[in-house]
Amino acid sequence: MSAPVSTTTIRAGRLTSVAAEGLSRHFGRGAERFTAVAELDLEIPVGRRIGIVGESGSGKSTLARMIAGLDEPDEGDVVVDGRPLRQVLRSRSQRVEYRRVVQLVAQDSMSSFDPLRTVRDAVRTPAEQLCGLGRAAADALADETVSALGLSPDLLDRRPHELSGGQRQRCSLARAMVVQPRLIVCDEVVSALDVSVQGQVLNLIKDYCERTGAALAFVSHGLPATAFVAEELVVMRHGRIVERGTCDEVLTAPAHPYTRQLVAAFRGRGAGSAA
Amino acid sequence: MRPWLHHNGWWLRRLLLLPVHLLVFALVAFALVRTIPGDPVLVVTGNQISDDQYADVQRRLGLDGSLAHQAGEYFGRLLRLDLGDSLITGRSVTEEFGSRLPQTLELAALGLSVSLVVVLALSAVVLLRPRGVISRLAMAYARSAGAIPEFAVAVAGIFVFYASLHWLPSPLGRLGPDDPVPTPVTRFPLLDAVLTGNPQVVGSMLLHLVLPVFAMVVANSAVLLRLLCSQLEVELARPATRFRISTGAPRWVVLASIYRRALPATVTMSGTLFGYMVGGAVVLEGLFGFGGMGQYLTDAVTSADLTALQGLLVVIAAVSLVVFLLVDLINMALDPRRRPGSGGAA
Repeated sequence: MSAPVSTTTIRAGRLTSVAAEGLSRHFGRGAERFTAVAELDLEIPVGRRIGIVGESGSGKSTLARMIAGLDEPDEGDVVVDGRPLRQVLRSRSQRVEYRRVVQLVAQDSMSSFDPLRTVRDAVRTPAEQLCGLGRAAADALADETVSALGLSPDLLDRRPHELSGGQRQRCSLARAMVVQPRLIVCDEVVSALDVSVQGQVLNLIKDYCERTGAALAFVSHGLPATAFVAEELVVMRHGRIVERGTCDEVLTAPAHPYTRQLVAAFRGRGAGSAA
Repeated sequence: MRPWLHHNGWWLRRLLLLPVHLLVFALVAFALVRTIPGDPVLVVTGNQISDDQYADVQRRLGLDGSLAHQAGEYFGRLLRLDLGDSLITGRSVTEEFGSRLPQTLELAALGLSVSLVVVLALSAVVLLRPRGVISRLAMAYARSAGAIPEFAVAVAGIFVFYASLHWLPSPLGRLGPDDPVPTPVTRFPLLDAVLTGNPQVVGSMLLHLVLPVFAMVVANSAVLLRLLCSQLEVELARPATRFRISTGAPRWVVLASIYRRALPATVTMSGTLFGYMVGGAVVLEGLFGFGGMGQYLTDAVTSADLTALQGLLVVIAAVSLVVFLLVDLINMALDPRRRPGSGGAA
């Protein structure tokens, strides 16, 4: 089982870097106003695997959604190869191209699939809509992608509730990987899985990025899983980045008190276990 | 044959259960008449009757002989679609219902259909332009759900559109005085009018239907609109919608998937609402001088015509069962997890 790099010919997407510049996102109004992400700057060059860690409520998932273009920042913008994402998403052709090169994989694979449609529909739609493949070619690519992820293509004809959590999460990866993205944004993708399946999924993600040179933004509250897949760690707290460095730097010499707590907890649990 | 049965078993099973459900309601109707406090014959006739008249009414009510004999007679007649003869008019209840019920059902069905079209259109505006003037007005109307009775809207409509503006014809029947009456074929008046192929008759009937249908739509759409908009809001916010967008699906596909997930609650409510609309249609028929179940029911209740009322119970139960069968089938088609044996939580 290895991460899918399709033999079906699809045009390679173009992406050099994605950067968050002064990104802020607030929720609620008045006294209940809550800042999820505050004036955040972060560059994700293609080819780099970045892990974003932090406690629940630190703004990681909001950041992931904004990078994927599925949520709009209140201030600042995501800059894609020098162009603001707002501007990119306004044009249909550029929007399609962005969705083609940046794909999000969610924590709750159950809720990320339409419960009324088959998984095949979810996996082939990006191939049809974003890569311009016909139905038959998109189906073949979907089969090929799930096979490479260690699943039987027959599973594609089931509905999400008819699959196990691990199968669903791999189908979630297939939906993202079918268009061969240049940046995969993974939002807590292994936290709902049991340990053995976590390992398989982490390996698949890492393998895909290594084979294709795609970038990875791996969002997780668990340091072990993040340290396993990422080359670089970004630590977030209260919507801001409090520390950034290579995995070795952050794990061996954490500078911020919150990072030290995270690392201490990581060492307490043993670096070998995942999230 | 077996694969076909496997794929279609979900609706076939539901269809085959219909006679069983009908039998239960027929049993309830049978039991109700026999559990009326006191003597049903005296309830119907009063005390001033001879023994012969008593025996005759008892026989016509199907209350003579043992309980097993009565049940045998009752269900035997039901199987022949014979609901007995009215104690008051002496006419066959089946024939009365056959000529009157389609008129009432047609009015209620028209009310529900127009209501659904209006609700779907308004909900789309609310979904696509939530801050627009039309959306705000629509949501203000939706919040009035259940606060406006049909007859009040109908009376106001008659006053404004007939008495004041003279835009609509007089509320004195389904056709104008000079319009030829269509030959009853289906007994559904509008359908019969269409079958005549006479545009004057169809136009006149449609004009006469505007106000009662308008009253039904205004009185009942708010409930559906409120429910659908709240469901759409929930489905719009679901991750499944975000991911649908991220797969590059066209806007109409995203909208269709949101509606498909949001609709089952509204479809179920429409089934319930149809029952209310049949009740409302009975009132509106009186107000607009339409033929239908309205006057017949009033007479049956005031004269304690037990045969007619017993028949009514069975027929209304049958109509409700068919409506809820349709509701279930539509919902199972929209959401395959609802199909028996699908193994999914609906």
